[in-house]
Amino acid sequence: MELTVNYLTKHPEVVKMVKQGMVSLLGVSKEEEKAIIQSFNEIEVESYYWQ
Amino acid sequence: MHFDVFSNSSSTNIKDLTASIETLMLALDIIDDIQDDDNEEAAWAKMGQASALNIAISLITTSQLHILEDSDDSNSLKIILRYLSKSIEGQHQDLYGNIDSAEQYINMIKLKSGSLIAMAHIIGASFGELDYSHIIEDYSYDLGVAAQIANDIQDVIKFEEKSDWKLKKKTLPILYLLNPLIKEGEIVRNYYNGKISFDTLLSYKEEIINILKQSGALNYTVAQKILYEQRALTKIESLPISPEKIKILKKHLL
Repeated sequence: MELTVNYLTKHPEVVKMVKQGMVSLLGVSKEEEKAIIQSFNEIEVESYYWQ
Repeated sequence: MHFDVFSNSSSTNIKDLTASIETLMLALDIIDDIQDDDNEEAAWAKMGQASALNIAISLITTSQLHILEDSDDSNSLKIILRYLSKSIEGQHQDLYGNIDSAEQYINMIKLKSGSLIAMAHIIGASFGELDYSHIIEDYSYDLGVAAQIANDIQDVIKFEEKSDWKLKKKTLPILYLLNPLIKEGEIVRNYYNGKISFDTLLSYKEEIINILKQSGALNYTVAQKILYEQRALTKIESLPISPEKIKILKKHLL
């Protein structure tokens, strides 16, 4: 899961494609995929936990 | 709350039992502060460790005595001691275990924190007629993990004297950066390997906070928190109780 997240931080376009259902993430379960994508949403919308 | 949801009876003893459990939790908080040598503003910290420890022992003893005196059977005390024992094991792993992976860390948290949450929930539910303890235990552990991860997220940007960084604790975001395959984590690995001092790490504070964001450490940690919250939610929704009671549990626990 760590490497998948690390990859997505470098390829934000893939995050968009997963959100649109065009691709799925390899090496993680559907449950984990959903949580990972949601983490990118939460950080964008809530402007990070540390502000 | 679990008493209200799972039991159809009323019992004045539940309030006494709740008070006894809170007394026990206070004792554990005191012991945790002594072990971590922090929370200097607490009333017990100002008394000195010997006095604080004595107070904690007294509270543990008193709470268990009250439980025995108030209950018709020893079931509540058995539940408390069972989960207290697991929590102590988790605390021991936290203090002395060699946590090297997210899986080990999460298992430790389940024991250390999740057990105490499970204890409180299962005691309340034990007054009901049916036994849902396995499901309750499961989601209690998940909730304990999610709560600890939330703490880890807040604590990882603190670099003061008793911080996770200073104490070289291995919380989830730090474990992410300790992974040698995460290239951005090199400075963190150098610190944990003893190649650089804490003062040197401190001088890179702003850079480390950026690394936490840009490397995906924050995303990873948030994703894990969401995962455990979702698992808890699914388990709560699987309980064979009325939708109204499920709604009450979800409202208070999530």
